Amino acid sequence: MSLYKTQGIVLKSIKLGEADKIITIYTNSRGKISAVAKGIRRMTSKFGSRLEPFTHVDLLVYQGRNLDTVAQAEIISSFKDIRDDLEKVEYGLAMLDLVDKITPDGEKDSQLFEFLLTVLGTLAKIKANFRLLLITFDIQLMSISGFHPSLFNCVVCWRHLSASSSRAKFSCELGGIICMRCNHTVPAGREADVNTIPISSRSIDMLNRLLFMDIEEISGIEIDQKVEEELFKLTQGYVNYHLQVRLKSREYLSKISRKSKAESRKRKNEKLGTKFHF
Amino acid sequence: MTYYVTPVANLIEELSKLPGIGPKSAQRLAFYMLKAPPADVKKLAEAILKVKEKIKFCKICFNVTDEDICQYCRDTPRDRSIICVVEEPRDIVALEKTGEFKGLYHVLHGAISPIEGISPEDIKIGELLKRLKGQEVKEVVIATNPNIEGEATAMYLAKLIKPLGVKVTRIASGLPVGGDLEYADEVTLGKALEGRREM
Repeated sequence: MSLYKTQGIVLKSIKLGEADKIITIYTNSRGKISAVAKGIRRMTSKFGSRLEPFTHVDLLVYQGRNLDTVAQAEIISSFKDIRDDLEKVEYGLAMLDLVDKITPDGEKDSQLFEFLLTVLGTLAKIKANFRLLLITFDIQLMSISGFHPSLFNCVVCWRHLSASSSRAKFSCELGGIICMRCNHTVPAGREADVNTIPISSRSIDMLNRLLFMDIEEISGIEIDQKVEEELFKLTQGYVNYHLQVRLKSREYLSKISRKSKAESRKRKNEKLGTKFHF
Repeated sequence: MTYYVTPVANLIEELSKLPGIGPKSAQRLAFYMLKAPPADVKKLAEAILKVKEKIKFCKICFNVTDEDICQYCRDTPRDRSIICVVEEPRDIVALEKTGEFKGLYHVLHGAISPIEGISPEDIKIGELLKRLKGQEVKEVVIATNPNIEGEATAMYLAKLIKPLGVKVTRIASGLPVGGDLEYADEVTLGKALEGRREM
């Protein structure tokens, strides 16, 4: 059996047997790998917290015939500031989930690795704008993975769209904006296609900015709630369309946001109720 | 083609559905049963059936029990002002073995897991909040696992319960007894320092 050294970011872990786990790690030298961590669920395991999601680790791995086995792990950064904040955990796991689903096993991409490290570093630092960070992460990761969207030329007729053409649609299937003229020529039935999403010119501009932005500058961005809502729907649709697998972490986020919306509505109604009381 | 006659093949197939039992261990178990005295095998079959028939969840704490209310909730000398929240019924056994805890329990049957898509509504959190409505409970001890799902659940519960005026505590994380300090990882050791106490 041969050994190899690498460093990586733990994406997820699945329970295996009585006390083991299979850990999925995005490494800088081998891309995504899965390796067994033996006995990790025992309280006295030598791994401790070293292979928890988000952790940036130095690894020594045995190469096995089927599955690799983690021999040693040492923490480089535990991203404690993410793990101590529930909202950061929720958004961060949604990011790790996408990396896990979009990358093939064993395909090295050091640009993606560095990108992921920067994003996690940013998530650990910022105090708000978590959802905006997820939007930016999604669109930039899609771009890195070969799904760079076309935002200024219509994907059907390739005509340049001026910023003033306010009404356009984003096609998840074709990966970019469709101008109104082409949208009309789309065969009947395709119009109501769930894979096209209406998008305002303000949102297009913002998306373009996010697409090329240095991700560490996220906390300086000011964004209109409506634009953020629109872009969130768009990136989720875009990601879901091209991935063709359910991202449970995203379904979780929408469940959570629906619940908090319902609660704030309830609070509002209660406030109104007391107002009208006297 | 099958190498075994149907009843044996069926038994092997059913046994191999069990967790941790592969086809080879299933064969070994099946042949053990073939050789074992009929009374023993009957006892095993009855035990399996009985567990499915008799066992249900406690109406108060959702522990497994054979009656409506489980043994811990029925136990009157227990301190009713303190509830310990755990992920699985097996965790209660682990805590009971310590002999340190004399309060009541609440089993969540899982933990919040964004990766698995398990949200707070999917586990018994609403039921816990209902239990806290009365004035009786003064403290909730959160004893979920010290991993990412367990910590997420703990943070979520703390956020929800604190405004109700109930004290929320988290079981300590730290060094396992009998271990060496030099092998402790940064996160565990950090938590151990955070939770240090005066002697």
